[in-house]
Amino acid sequence: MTWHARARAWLSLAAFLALASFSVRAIPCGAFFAGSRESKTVPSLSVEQTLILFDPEQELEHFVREIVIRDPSPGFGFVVPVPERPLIANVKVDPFAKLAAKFPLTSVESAGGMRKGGTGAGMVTAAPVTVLSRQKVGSFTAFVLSASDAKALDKWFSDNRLLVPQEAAAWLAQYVKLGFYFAALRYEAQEKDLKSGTTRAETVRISFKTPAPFYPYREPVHPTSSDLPRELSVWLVSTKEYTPVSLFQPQATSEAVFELEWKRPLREHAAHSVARADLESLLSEELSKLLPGPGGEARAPLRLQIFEDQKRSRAGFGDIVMVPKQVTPLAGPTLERSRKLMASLDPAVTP
Amino acid sequence: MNGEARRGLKCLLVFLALCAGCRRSSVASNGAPERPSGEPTSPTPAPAQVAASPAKTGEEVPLLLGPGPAGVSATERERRLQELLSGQIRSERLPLVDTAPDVPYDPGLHARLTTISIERPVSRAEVSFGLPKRLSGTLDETQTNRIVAGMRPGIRQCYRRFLEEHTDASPSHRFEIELLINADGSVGSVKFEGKRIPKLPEFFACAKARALASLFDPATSEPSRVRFSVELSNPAPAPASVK
Repeated sequence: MTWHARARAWLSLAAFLALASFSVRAIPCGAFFAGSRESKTVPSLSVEQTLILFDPEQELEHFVREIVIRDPSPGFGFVVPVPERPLIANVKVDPFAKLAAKFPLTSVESAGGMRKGGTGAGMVTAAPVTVLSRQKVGSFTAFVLSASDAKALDKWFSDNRLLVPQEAAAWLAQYVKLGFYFAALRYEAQEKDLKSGTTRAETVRISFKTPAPFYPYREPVHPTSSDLPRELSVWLVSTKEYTPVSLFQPQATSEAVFELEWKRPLREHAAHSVARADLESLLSEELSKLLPGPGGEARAPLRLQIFEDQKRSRAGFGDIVMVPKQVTPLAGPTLERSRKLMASLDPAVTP
Repeated sequence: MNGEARRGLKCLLVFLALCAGCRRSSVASNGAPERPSGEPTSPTPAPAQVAASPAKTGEEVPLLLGPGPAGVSATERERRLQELLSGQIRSERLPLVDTAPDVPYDPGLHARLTTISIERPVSRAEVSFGLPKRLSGTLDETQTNRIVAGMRPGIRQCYRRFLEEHTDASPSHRFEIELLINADGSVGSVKFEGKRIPKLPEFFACAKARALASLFDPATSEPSRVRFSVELSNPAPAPASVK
């Protein structure tokens, strides 16, 4: 099977993939042990699981995402556009099986008491593509990029063995225009991976500054759409509650500005008030350290919200901005820092 | 009818007309359903109005809001956005689109997709094709055999993926695929036939997409029809082998 055929299948199967947004459909061996189950299990390629730890005081988001991998082709990788310069790290202990067991995707009540993280600042350069960092993250080589020229970015991906589907060019160009940064992860395939036929999962963390939680949800416009089931589950931990909002623009009438509407692209299952200690016991130490809010004496409970999306296509949907459910002042520097998020919700806004 | 009754009827008609004018479809613009329970709808209130009407519950009236129609000034659009981002708009009432159009919410989907048993190694999924038969047209036989054989890895991939998500699927299936190949070599249509067509909707959707993506050499005359048999088999479960 050619790369293109494979890429088309991945793309249509579930989502974005090679160089699409952060919804890899990937592929090779291994598995994780799912909670208390007796048998070994792996997630399907059609599922995305994400944990977002957001600290509104520090305006800091930790985007923790599971990547399912099987039979990767050379050039397999993906790109996550984010509003500010990200830090990328490997997450050693996958939190999703435990999260799903303790906070399932059903409407339920709460549990019962918290800390912080830290990361980078913005840096835009006039160079067409600037490589801000390069590091090994699990089975991937992770690059942090900024770009002022979409074509140059496209070429950079090609020069660096990351295959960009044709339809992703316009998708990337939009983020270049908005001054977003790119977390690009290239899978470094081992010979044994190529024909292993088994599936495994790796989890990465992308941390970046943002005044409100941001989910890179928008996908390139695929020439063929898939009708296969897919699922996105999101656990959001913060000190406040949020509603995921996305700009929806029907593709057939993309020129008609009056068609623009805001939608909730994710179903909210539950919102729990959770003691920080409970979350610390659930999450690994590396993730517990990133929990939002003050630690130490002021260990206030955190809010944990559970969201799910079963759409098979995201056509027409933009990125998700989580807007606060309670009135939150937005003025001065905070308003200025919100411009990129505002541009995600209204194309007329220039960041 | 006396005057009083006529007045009453007029009032009723006016009331009904007003009610009808106030309604908007609850179906999202992409045709997707709202919450499975069906959220009611209302006209688009101004953001300020929304913020000032806290009596309504979140489920009552979806907000049909967006950046604004074409004529709305940049200042107004900016104001709407700021209200949204500062929590002044009751965002939980924006229309929910969380499933594909006409597909109900599936409460078991997450569990199914995240607990794929690997005790049956899906890499053992087998797909075999019978020799293609040309039913009509002038397509070259050797070329047909070659292109059809080239579809096998893609179909096998579809089957593997299907097995990942349906660990209880029967161990074997037989059916036939009929292709209509246009004069330009593209595949015009794909039909699955057989006495007992198995119910594998995800597999068939994937297999159809694969077949449609195939490209034959352009024929010299009219479209051709080709049919071939397919057998899917998944050998008996074997012990797990996890690396």
